[in-house]
Amino acid sequence: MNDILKIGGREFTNRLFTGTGKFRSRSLIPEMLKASGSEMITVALRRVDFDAGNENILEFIPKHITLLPNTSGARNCDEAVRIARIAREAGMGDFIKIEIITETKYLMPDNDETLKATKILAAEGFIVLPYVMPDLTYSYKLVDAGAAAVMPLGSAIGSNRGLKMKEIIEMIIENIDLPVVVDAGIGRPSQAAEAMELGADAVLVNTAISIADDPVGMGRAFSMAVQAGRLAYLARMGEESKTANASSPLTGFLR
Amino acid sequence: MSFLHELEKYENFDFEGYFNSVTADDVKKSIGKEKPGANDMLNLLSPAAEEFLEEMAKRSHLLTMQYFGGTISLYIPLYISNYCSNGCVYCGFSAGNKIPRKMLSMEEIETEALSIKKTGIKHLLVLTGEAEEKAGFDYIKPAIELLSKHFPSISVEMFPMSTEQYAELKKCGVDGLTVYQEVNDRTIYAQVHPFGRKSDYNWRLECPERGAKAGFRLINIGALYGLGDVRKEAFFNAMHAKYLDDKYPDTEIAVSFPRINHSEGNFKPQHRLSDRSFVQFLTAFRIFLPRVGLNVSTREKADFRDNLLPLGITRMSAGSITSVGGYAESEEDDVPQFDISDNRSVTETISMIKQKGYQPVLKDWEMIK
Amino acid sequence: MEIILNGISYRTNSESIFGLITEKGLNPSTVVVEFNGSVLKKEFWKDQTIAENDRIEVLNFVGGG
Repeated sequence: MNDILKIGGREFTNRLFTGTGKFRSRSLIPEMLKASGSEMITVALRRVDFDAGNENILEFIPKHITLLPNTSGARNCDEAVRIARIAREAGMGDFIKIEIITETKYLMPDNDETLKATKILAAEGFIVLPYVMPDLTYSYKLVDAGAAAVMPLGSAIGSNRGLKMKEIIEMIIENIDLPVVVDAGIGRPSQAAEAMELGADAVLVNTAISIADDPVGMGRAFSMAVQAGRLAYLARMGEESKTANASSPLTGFLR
Repeated sequence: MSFLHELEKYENFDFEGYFNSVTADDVKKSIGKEKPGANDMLNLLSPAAEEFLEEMAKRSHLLTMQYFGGTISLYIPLYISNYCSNGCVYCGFSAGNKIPRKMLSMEEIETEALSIKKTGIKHLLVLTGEAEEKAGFDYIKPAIELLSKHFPSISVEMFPMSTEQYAELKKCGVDGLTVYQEVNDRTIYAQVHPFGRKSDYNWRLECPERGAKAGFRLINIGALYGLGDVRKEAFFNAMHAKYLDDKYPDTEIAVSFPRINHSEGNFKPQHRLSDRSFVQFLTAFRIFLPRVGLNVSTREKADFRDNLLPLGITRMSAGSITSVGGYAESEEDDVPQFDISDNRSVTETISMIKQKGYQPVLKDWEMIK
Repeated sequence: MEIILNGISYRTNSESIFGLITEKGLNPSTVVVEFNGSVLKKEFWKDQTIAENDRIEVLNFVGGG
């Protein structure tokens, strides 16, 4: 089947994006990538801890996988821009996931700062994937700012609560001419399938895979759920039938 | 990108073949769809859907109540000039027609405004023939400035202008634009618009979008049924409305369904939109575009208009006079642009709407300046 | 000489960035260096001398979602 997702000039046949956070052992990452077929994975940038041994996460990611560095840790636009520039200088390519979080209770993204950073980085040629609180009017602004995709959260990061923002995400999918990648909150494959049935272009799943007893098996499960959801969306599910009940005929006057 | 590119996608589409292939089952599915697409609209416009008018009407009624409640917005047209440089073969104001030409002075416009004001309707549609050299922007602008003192909401139906001109009119108090493509079929368009600025198909097709870009609140489009194949025309018009609705979320889109009636030119339409097809198309539009305003003018007969109320209509003209300057005093030889079929006064129209259980809306908004 | 390394003051004898990275026992291919606010590409590490109060950030890629 020829169903390709294009983001920033790159083509993806697998619509499950994954992350490298919280794996018990990094050697599970390449196995998970292989089992799931995921073609894009996030990485984060941190200060080196001189007292601990520094493993290079990149060694565990096969070359054909697109790296999506994130700006996690950034608390405002300037910090996110700085992290993005460092990542690019370090040879990570042009993809960047903007993640700016100031609120620490639920880890909600700061949409204002994210929009500013999107504008700046898109103008510098980055392929910007902003992680945002879903909002339609705001999404139009992201389009104008030059975002390459919109990444609305399904529910709070790591909450595994699924598509709590479903109605709004659906509006974004229907009205915004950019790939929509549901990020955060997806805890089960069935929730990933639900997002894809809605018409999401991809989902990004990290924690739900990495903290599973068997991350490799879970990666494969998510991948299959994403495929099933996508196929269902393309095959156009049957509608629940709606019957209207007007008491008297409305078109009787025509006869 | 403009709607031109959308139209091009259907250049080689076999409409006749598709319409004839639609089955009863296809129609039933499309009526019930929560999010109908272009194919569903084709199904709803097809001959097969003629057997499902009651089902379509019920769905349309339900959707209209859901999105608009039982409200009917009223507007009143004011013709201020009938000079025209276009040769539209179907129109009473056409340049070739030997009719008395009139252009209201500012004083006359004010007199008309005061007469109309008494009806209580606050949404005014100001119309002219399309004669840029005679009744051009320099005539229209002061006229609007004058009228905006009396009406909180003004739409214009005039020669297509540039985005800059629309933006300037917006500053003077215009918040809406009505412009009909008349016919989307290029060949027929060229035949029925043999000369004048209007013979430029693209300039007209992209006009509603220019209005949306200028920031108007309401854009009203339509096809003049009778000029081209009615199903195709309805489909193109629906796609145009959808295009505008998708691209300009801050603009309200409305659609009219004018049918050619007798006008001064004695034009014999090649195609006909029957009452049944009118109802079919109207309800199809509602199912396809639940949020779009659907407009019926006084071209239609009173009892037909009354029966359309529960079927999806959200806007109506009332108490219309389609000749120049007829509200204050009318003269015997005044020639209308088209014949009015519903001659009831505004008061009569309002009481009919109320009697049917709907709420007439005389004023929907006022821009805070 | 005293420099600011990853936000903390640090005394070093290394004269170049390359020297500093080696001194810390890091594999050059796994880290990124920000020198006084801008990224310094690896090809310049040997030539970039270090002076008193220079601000140096050494970063690497880690797991993250």
